[in-house]
Amino acid sequence: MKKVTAILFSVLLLFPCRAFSEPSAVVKRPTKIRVLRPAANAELPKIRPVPFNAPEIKEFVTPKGIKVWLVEEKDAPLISASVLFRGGSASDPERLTGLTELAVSLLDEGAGPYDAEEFQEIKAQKGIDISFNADADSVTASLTTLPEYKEEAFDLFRLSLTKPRFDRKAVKRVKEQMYAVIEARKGRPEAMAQKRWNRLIFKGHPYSRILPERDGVEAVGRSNLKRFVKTRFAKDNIVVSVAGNISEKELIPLLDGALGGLPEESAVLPVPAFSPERKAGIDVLTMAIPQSATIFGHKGIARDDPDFYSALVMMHVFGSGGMSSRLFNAVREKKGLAYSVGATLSVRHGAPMIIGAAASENSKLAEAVDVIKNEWRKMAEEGPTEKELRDAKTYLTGSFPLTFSSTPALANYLTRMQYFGLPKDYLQKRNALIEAVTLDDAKKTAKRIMHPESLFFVVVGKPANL
Amino acid sequence: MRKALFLAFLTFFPRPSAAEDIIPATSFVLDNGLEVIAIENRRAPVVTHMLWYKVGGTDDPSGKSGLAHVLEHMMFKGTKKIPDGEFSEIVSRNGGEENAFTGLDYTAYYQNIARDRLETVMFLEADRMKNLRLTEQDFIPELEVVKEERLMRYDNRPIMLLQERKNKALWGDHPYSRPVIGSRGELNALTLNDVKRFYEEHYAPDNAILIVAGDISAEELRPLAEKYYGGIPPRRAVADKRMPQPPYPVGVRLEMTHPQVKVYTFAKEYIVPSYMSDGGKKAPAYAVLAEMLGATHVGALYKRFVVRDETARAANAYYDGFAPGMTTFVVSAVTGDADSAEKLEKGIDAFLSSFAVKEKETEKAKARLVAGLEYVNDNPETAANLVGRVRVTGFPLERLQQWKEDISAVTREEVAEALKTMLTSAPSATTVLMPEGDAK
Repeated sequence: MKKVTAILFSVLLLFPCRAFSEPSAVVKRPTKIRVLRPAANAELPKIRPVPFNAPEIKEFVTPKGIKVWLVEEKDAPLISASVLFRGGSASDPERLTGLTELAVSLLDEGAGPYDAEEFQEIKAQKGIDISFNADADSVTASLTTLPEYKEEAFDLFRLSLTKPRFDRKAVKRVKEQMYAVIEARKGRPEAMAQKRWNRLIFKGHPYSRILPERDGVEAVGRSNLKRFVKTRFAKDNIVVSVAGNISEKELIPLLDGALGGLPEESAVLPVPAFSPERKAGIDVLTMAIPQSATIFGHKGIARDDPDFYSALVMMHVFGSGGMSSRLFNAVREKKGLAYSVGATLSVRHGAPMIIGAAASENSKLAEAVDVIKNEWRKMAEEGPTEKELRDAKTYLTGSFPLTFSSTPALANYLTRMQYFGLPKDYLQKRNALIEAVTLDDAKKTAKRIMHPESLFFVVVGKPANL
Repeated sequence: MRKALFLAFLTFFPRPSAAEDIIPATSFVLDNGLEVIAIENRRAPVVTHMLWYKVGGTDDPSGKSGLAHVLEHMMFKGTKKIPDGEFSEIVSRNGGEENAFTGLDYTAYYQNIARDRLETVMFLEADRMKNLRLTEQDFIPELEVVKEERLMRYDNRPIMLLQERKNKALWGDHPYSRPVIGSRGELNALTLNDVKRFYEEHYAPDNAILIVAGDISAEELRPLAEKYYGGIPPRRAVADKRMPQPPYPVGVRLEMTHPQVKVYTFAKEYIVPSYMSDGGKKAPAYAVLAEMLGATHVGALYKRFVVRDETARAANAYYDGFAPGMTTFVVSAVTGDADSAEKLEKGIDAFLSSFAVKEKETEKAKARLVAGLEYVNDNPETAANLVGRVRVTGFPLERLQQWKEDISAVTREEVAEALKTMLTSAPSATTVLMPEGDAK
């Protein structure tokens, strides 16, 4: 979770009109632009495709044993590091749900010689961005800095990962902030739907309790926090990627300084694999609000499954292709039943899912649910059309260069690649994997992974006629 | 990159060394009045193509709030050349990511796309500036979509309902009193004719700014801009935006309880000058004041109420200087219990009125504001957003380029004066949002 204070103030002032929110973004983009067929519309400008060469990843191991992926870019104004540790909130002991979130929120609240204010002031004076994020399966530490402040930045990084102070006052303050976030969530239909979904789908599994409760947070003591740092951040569960304006030679001492002192071995509670099997159905949590929010889906497909790429292309056609997806067209464009609707592959380790989300006025939700079910059935039975498949592939391949226009996003992308065990020449190979998906593959995969008979909906609101 | 973008806006923008431009931007104007800005960034073969119209919620005719935003939705329908639904399909098929947004004073459309497809989106965007085909068949379901958007952003979120009421009370008959998304009743009453008229009145090259950021120079952009946008006739009649007078100073206080609300949110909002009012002389001091009071972790409000007193869980101040006329300065805090809420309101009032602006804190706040200004040049989309946001409110590009100097020149006295003026003579609104059962 981001800094709790940011969540407390998350009021958007603009109205991005076409966006829809994906419950868990996982769809990654591929490589190398292919020649496009002439556009259907003769008046459109002719494109002279320029081949795109994805950057080479340099892999090396520092003297202190840290394996790194680096994409050096002399043109970039920034340096970003993305450091992931395997093991997240699903590894919290049952009586301490919230441990990971609390610990992660405290890493920049004072470390080494600095109290919280001093630590934050140094960052702010030099424009250094250090942030920590936790999800069910990992903790990610992100650093972005101007090249001129790289020494200071990596040193703050070291302090926060190895010497967080967990001052009593800071612990108390951040706990209070978490209680406020936990309370505030109770009034938010999307958050409640997510929580209910986790409860029902992952019953009996740690994923069912990854959103913290007050009791769990209260029970966390300073000794738990100290142990957290000692056992969760180590050299055997770390993934490190760096992008931007820095050379291998400059980076090695900085990384060894920041991460070289980590313990060799972690001790993270393992999370068992889980295959949610449910019958189709609808669960309603009543909340007196005018619009109902729903999350829906069923089990999905693993990232390392041989059919993953055909699933990715098929899902783009179905629900993750933004404004051109089937769900968007059927639910929103044709019938005006929702502003936000979509579905995507969630490739969480051990529990892959297909998850969608939508929100409709209470009297319209039942119809939206019917349309979604119908689209689900249609895709399972018929798969995508030749044209849909082609368009999805040119989107997935053609949008790949966009991955390389932001330093923090690139560092994060490299870390996701490593996290999923992809090879470093994946950047060069990815588009060919997408290209290789045939209509037959996509149809077979649709039949294999789309299960209308187990499509389950969680609804929060006051839906009529469900 | 939403986060980085948001951050850039909050702290205003990110930084360079003195005498150098903040952003490598070059602008020129076509004969038909379209302002064009190229922002060169060669790191990846991609561009952000962004068209800003100088029209937003403020321009909704009386009784028709939400119109500018409904038109934004309708812009994704067909034209004479591009059949219904094809716009987004073409962009997507070419690997483009796109979206649009409407604010009080602007409406913007953008696509992030590989450089070799730039002409495709220029063709599409220019085409819908002139040739939009508006039909009942598209309009009826799309109005339902907008109502669903309103339900999601406002009616399901008590804090936004309170904002809506607060804007009414604070801004009186100024157009900022109306919600960009549209009030429920007025949305229902909008017609296709309203949308047509609004489109014809406001969508023209001389009421727009085109920004292309990324793998392109001004020299490369100019012929393309001429080719695709140059042939669209200007409207000429597009009137200079005249901002109505700010409302007569009032001090309103609104309390709202709601069953969905579980924590207490307290806010004070003041109407203050922007970079465009009074020649922008006051704005830099307000930017420094907001940083000094409002920065998370290191701002005075956070240190006092979250860290020292422990009455608040969050405390913040925010100033958005980029508006064509007056703008607002907001101080807010969140807490979990009724006792703290009461203490907090009194405490913040007392704190602000006795706040001593110190030299050292002023310098620290100024340094924080300009540190990391360079971040804006990392990603073309971030730079395009900032430049668009600045230019659409009328602020000159050259002034943006020297923004760092303007901030550096702010004195402790100017910050103190800004605070004093704001507290004593600015129109203001206090809002308290609380759980049900706590109404006093």
